[in-house]
This record gives sequence, structure tokens and C-alpha cells, in this order.
Amino acid sequence: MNALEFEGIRRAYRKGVDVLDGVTFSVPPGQVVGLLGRNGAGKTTLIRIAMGMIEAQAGSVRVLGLDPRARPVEVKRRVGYVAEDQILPPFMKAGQVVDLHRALFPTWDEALAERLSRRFELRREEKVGALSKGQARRLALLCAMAHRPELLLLDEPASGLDPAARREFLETAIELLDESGCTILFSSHYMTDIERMADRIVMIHDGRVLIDRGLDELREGFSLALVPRAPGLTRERLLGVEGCIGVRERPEAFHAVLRLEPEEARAAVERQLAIGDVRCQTVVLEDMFVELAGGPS
Amino acid sequence: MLAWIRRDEALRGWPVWLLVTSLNASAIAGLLVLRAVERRSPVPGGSLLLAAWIGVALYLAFGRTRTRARPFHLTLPLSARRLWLGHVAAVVLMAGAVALAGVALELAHPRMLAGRVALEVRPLALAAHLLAGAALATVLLQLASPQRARIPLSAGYALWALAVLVAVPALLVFLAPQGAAWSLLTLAAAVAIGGWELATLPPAFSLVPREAAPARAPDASLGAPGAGRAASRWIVAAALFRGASAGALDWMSVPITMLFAFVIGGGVMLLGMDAVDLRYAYVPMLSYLLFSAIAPRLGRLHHLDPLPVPRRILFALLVVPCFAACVAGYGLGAFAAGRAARRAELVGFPATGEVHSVTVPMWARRIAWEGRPPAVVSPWGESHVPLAWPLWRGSRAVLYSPFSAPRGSSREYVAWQLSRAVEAVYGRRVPGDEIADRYLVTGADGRVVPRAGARLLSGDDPRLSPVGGGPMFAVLMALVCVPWLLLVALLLRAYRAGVSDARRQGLFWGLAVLVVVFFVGQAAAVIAGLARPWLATALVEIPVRALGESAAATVAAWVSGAALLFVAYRLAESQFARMEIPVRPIRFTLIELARSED
Amino acid sequence: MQIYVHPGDELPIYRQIVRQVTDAIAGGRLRAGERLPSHRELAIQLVIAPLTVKKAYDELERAGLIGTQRGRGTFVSDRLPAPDPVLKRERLREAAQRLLSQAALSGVGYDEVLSLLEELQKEMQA
Repeated sequence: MNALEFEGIRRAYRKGVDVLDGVTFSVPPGQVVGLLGRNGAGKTTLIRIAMGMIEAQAGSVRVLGLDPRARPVEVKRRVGYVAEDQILPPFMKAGQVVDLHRALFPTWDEALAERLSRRFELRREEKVGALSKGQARRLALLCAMAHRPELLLLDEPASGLDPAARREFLETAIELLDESGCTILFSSHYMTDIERMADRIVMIHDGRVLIDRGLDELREGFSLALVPRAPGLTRERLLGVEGCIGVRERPEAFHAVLRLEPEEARAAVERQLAIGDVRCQTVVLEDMFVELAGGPS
Repeated sequence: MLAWIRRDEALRGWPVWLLVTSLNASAIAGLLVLRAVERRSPVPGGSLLLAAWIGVALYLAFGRTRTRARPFHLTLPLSARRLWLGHVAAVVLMAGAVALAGVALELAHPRMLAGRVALEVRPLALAAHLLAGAALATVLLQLASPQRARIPLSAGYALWALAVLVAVPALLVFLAPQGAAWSLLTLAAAVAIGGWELATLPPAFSLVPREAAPARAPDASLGAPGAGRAASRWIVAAALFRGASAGALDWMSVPITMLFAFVIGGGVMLLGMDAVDLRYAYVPMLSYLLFSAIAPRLGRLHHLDPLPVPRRILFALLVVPCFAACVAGYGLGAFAAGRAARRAELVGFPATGEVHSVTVPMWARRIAWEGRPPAVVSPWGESHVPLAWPLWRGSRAVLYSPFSAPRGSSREYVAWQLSRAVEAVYGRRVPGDEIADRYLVTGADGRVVPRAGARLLSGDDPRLSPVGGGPMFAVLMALVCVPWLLLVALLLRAYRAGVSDARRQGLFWGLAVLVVVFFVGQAAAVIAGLARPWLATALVEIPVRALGESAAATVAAWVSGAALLFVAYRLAESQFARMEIPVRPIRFTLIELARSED
Repeated sequence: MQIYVHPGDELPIYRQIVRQVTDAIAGGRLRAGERLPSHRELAIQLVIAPLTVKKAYDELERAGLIGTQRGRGTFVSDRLPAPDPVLKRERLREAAQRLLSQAALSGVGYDEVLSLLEELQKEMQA
């Protein structure tokens, strides 16, 4: 049974503007999936749909085999959720928030909670509203992880945190991964974090899944071609090259991402477009994101 | 400077403040005028003043009057003095506008305009005193925390605000009858205090207090459960309750809910038994108030959304406290009403002008739907057809009192009617002869009048209490809560997938307009003479009393009231279960719109 | 030995680990029979996913460079496989290319490069 299944998810906030338009992918248990996409691409929407906080207008979602709209309490008990904007009630004290979570989640692990609270240096009597952003996020992480969830849904969990806090979050997540073997779906703009943690990359662009591959496969099997401008050379012609999945136009050259290794990519482009002087290299995640998602689509 | 004032926060949401407060003032004024007309006395100035002051007090207490400068303003090259002046000017402007609007709508009563009703205090004086009072209250409130860009909300400030907002109108009520010129005294005081504040301002405001908060003792690490580990359910319930509450707005709404419910329960009759009409005017207002108490709490729920808590528990937490406050207020009101009723002479034979007539409470009267009340025939044959008032202009149904005794009735007839009235109202049998002997005399001109100094019912029998009015609680609670829950269901329905923001806004404004129209329509109908002020009272109390006469009907009323309530609750709950809780708080109620952060 | 990974590097992380371990064994910094950190230890130390470490170790095991003993840990193999001559030549070619490009850029002639190499060879053998 898959930990998470999205099938044909469609959702619009305003009529005619589809945020998600047929998103389909599944996550087997134990996998770590990095969700990429521009701001507003629908990552938060997708994660909220998985939590049952939002309803998809078409398509189906299954979390740990259950429908989060039909069985919300069961699903939420087994899932940990951290989001950028999900702030815990500001006037509650940190201790009260933890007590609340302890009471609501039957799988709460006291020892783990104690360990995390010591590592995060959180105190009981502080009001949530008075915590700094990093501390509040750590508190949310503690509450999400201490009950050893089977699935972790993290919506830009490291955004706005200083590098030390980000590193701390990563370390904690990796420990949890190792100890419990949970499944993680997390969206982030920090490519280095994704490269460290993710097995698989799903990239949402224009409401659809643009890329759904293993991270290593992406790094080794894809390449970036830098094609200098030439008369008669257009974006469309480049997109027509076999294996090309995205082209971005720059003042001095076209940047094309191809599903081929660098040497093969160079040969393919030079042959099909009858031009020379094409440079190809492997592409790091950040550049791939920029080339595929940046600029006009 | 003018541009600065225009942009000040204090003016945010000005249409709302003007609308809400002036409506309230005009409603109260309308009732005062009617009472003055009936009693042939001038409209008391103090009451008009206080009615208009309510709006000013609400604005000064809950409007954005505490923010002298936002952080953005502190980055601009503006001195604290300029910021302060601009802010205070805006607040005084707004408070003054609210006061004037209240006064204007109060005086827009047609009877007052026609000069048929006298005023204790002249309009000019009213306006002048209110304006001066608003200015004085503003500068007094500004005395708090002069260094801060924003006056922090604390128990101390709340008490101070309360004291100011009560003391200033007391002063005004004292000064107003002396004439308009005396308002200059208040104004002078305001200017003096304001001037002193201006002079003692620091060169720049600061965002946080100068002194650090006291050091905190190191406390327990987070993982360990808190001292006195309570049962999980209690923790969850307490946390959810707090999580679902909306802070200050919530705390505010509880006493106001109880106040309205108190009025509806009958507590308003402490002001006099004839204030009973106000009771029913507040029914739709309480419905809307309960509805608007829910909305800000809905907006806070997104914190709790990801938690594994069933929606029906969250909904119960939203609804039940409001309902409890309502019931509590009603209970207090009913208690107060009972005491008032015991002290009052419900059945009497007072004079209105030159004519004496038998008075009974509204619920003892009858409605003749066909238009002709039946004649009341005494055992010895004396009879008359009671005087009838159409319920509304052109209606066939009429209201009449079956216990009336017209001019020219014999003493025995009057006594007989009084005896019947006493039995109907108090359930006690007092023979007509006894009443005639004790209470009535035939005057020199042949008219029957009450004996001077006599009371209708001998002695003040403490056990003597009026017969119950029927299942009022069930009926009134249903009248308040069923529309409330239906409105809630309607609101929640708009928060599903596929409903656009524009539709939600439309729904909100539609409901607000509906409420305003209803309210204004009610008042307007009465003012224009289309409907009688006692229409709602008659339509509610008389049928309910009829229900109360049979046990079966009473039980049926209770059961159907509870059933309707249950159905409405489930309806709203089912909409809540399917709702998508928005991340940003819902700015729904009129007051919230006026205070909106962005 | 200290393994150090760089997430933004051209090489995927697992490959960086493989490369570093291989180089260390070839250069003698890791000796036969020496214990390597476990999956968990290395994952926590480098702040990367445990699966990545597993992938790297699996590849190293396939190449015969390391071996895992149940309950005891992961160790460098006692008998290292014969180094792949093609791979070696490939690596050397890359290094040589870099050397020659740099020499060309600095305007150092080929003969000077050769004499530099001879000098270094004498130093290493000494």
C-alpha cells in the first residue's frame, strides 16, 4: 500500500485559473520526496489536500490508504504536518501546546519528545506568540515528529530559518527517518536541503507534474545545453529536439534541459538542428529548477 | 496635516461606526419619544444624551484608537508631536461624527420635527455637549502610556477606559440641562489636558517599553508533562476552547450577548413594565450578534485544523458557549422580570388624561382575527364592545382588551371587569363587591374613579405573582437560535471548494444589508405609523399565553422548539464538517471590518 | 578518514562518497580491514539521507572494495580487487588534461612541464 497517492487532482481557487490540473503521483512507504515548484505553483495546495484541509475539485487522494476527507481524524493521527504559515495559537504557552499534542496522539513517544525539547532548547512557559520564527518552527517540528508519524508532510519547513536552524531541522528529520523509516513529502526552495534528503523529485509546473524522477537519475541522466543564438533558431525548434523537456531564452543563448547524458545531448542537438558550438553539462538541481520553471512557459 | 488625518487608522471603517451607532441611538430615541408622547412629558435630555453616547463609547473602546503610530510611520521623519496631533485629531473627528450622527438620527423623528414633542435639552446643546464630551474622553484616554507608539491593552487600561467612558457622560448629563454654553467648560478641560499631553510628549515614540521584562526563572523542559497532569480529555477541551476563541473580541461578546439575552428575558422591564416592547426588538439583534460572535472564532480555527479532532467537537466548542451565555442572560432577565412583575400593578385603573381605563398586561389581551371583538356581557346584562386597535394599518385583525370598562360603565361593571382581570392575571378570585368597596368610588360627576391611595389588591401579598405567560423561554430561544444557526449554516456553506471569494463577499454583504433593512424597517414602520410599537409583543405574547393554558400545548411547544433547534444545529454542523477552513481570519462582522489589520 | 560531501557539486552525493572512499583506499589512507562508519553514523555525520549512504556502500560493495559483516559493521576488504586499468587511465587522463590546460594558460611550454614531472617523480621516490 502506498503511503500517499494522488490521482488526477484538480483544484482552482478562481474560476478559470487552475492551480492544479491533473496531478498524479504515488509515494511508496519509506521514500523521501522533494516537491519543487515556483511560489504559487500549487505545492501548498497539494499538501493541504493530502491533509484533508482542502477538497480537490476532481481526482482522488489516498493517505495511508484512507481518504483524508472521509476519515480526517484517523489520517491526522498518523501524519505529522509542519507548514510555513501554520502557526500554533499565539497566546498558548509552549508547554500547553505540547500537552495538547500529547493528549491527541496515541503514539506519542515521551522519550523522543524529551530529547527533542532538550535539543531545541524549548521552555514550557513561553507564549507561542513571543517565540522567534525559528523557535516556533522548532516547536511545530517537535509536535509533528514526537508521535512518530508514518508520514511527514512538510510545507517549506525551513523557510525563513537561519542556516544553523535549517541544519538542525535536517539532522532531526534524518534521525527520524533512520529510526522510524517514515515517509516524507516536503517542499522547499533550498536545493541543498533537497539534495541531501530526497530520494525522488517531483516538480509541479503549470498545474501538472513536470518531472517525477529519482534524484540521482536526474543528476546523472539529464543535462543542460547552452545553444548560442543563430538565425532561424527558435525556442520551438529546440523544444522539438528529441529528449528536450524545457527551454529558457536568454539574451545571449538558449538554455535547454534534455533527458540525455551530456555527450548524447550535444550530439542530438547539433545533429537535429544542424548547428555547432553547443556546450552540454550535467545540471545541478537549482539550475534545473530555474531553467524549467523560470521565464515564460 | 489634513492628508495625514485622512490616512490615520482611527478613521478606518468609518461607515460601519456611523451606521451601527446611529441606528442604535435612533432606535432608543424612537422608544423614548413614544413614551414621552404617551405620558405627555418632554423627552428626557439625559436619556437622549446617553443613547448617543453609547456610539461614542463603543467607538472609543473598540475602534483603532490606541495606535498612535505604526512601525511604518516611525521610519518617516515626523516628530512625535505631529503624529500625536494627527492621531488625536482623527479620533476626535470620528468620535464627534459618531455623536453627531447619533443626535441627528435621534432628532429626525417626525414627531420631534413637527414640534409635537418637547425636549428637555435643546438639540444644539445636545450636540455641543456630546462633541465636547467626545473630545474630553479622547484626551483622557490618551493619558495612558505616553511613550508608546501603541497603547498596550492591559487590565489597567481597560479599567481606566471604563472609568472615563462612564464618568464623562455622567458629567455631560449633569451639565447639559444648564445650556449649550456650558459645553465650553468641558471643551476647555479637553483642550487643557490635551495641551499638557502635547507638551510632555517625548521627542519620539517607541515600539516597546523601555524596561526589560523581569527575568524568568528557568522552568521545566518541554518534554516533561506539566505539573498536575490533568486527564487528557480536559487538556484537549481546554486547549481547543482557547484555540477556538478569538481573544478580546470574544470576551467582549459574552457580556453583550448576556445583556441582549437579559433584555429579551424580560430584564428590561426593570425600567418599567411598558418597556416590554423593547424585548422583541432585540430578538433579531441577538440572532445577528450570536452569528457575528461565531465568525471571528471561525477565522482562528486554522490553527486547530491539522489536529486529529473530530469536526463535530470543534463545532460544539464554537456554538455551545454562545448558547450558554444566551441562556444564562435570559435566565437572569426572566428572574428580574419576575421580580418587577411582582412589584408592579399589572392590573389597574389609572387615568390617561381625563379618562380612566382598565389596564392589563399585553398577554392578557386578545386578538380578534375577524375584526370584531366579541361583546363583553355582565351577568346582569350590562355589556359593551371593547375598543379595538388594528394590528397594522389596514389589517383586519384587531387587538382588544376583554377587561375594558368604557366611560359610562356602572361601578359594578368596572368592579366586575377588574375582578375578572385579577383572576386572569393573578389566578386569584377576588369578588367584584370587594373590589368595588375597597377600591372604587363614584365621583361627583358620576364617573367611576379609584379611591385615592387605595391599592387594587389588598396588601402586598408576597405570594401573589402573575400567572405564567406560557412557554416563553422555548418560543423565544427558538426564535433567536434557529435563525442564528441557519445563518451560520449559510455562512459555512460558502466556505467549500468551488465557491469564489466574490460570492462570499456577496453573501456577507447581503446578510448585513438584510439585517440592517430588517432593523431599520421595523423602526421605520413604527415611526411611520404603519405598525404599532406593541405589534411584536402582541403577536408573540398572546399566542404563547394561549399555548400555556393547556399542558399538552406547552409540552408540544417545548418539544417542537427543541426539535427545531436540534435540526438547525445539525444542519450547521454538517456544513461545518465539509467546510474548508481558511488560513486567513475571516473578516466578517461589521466591527471586525472596522478594525481590520490590513 | 573524513568524508566530506558537497550537495551542489556536479556529482551526486552518493557518487562523491564512492569517489572519496575509492581514492582513500587507492591512496592508502584507508587500509584493509579498517572499519567504516555505519549507514546511520555516516548519514548523521554528513547530514544526508541514510538511503544515500546505503546506495554508496552498495556500489562500493559491488566493486569489491568493502564488505559488511552482520552485527560487526562495514570494513574495507582484505583483498582489494585489481584496479580497473581503463578507469585508472580515465582518471589520469582527466588530471593530465587539467595540468596541460593550466600550463598552456600560464604560457609554460611542454618541455618545462616534462621537466617538472621528472622533478616530482624524483621527490616521490626519495
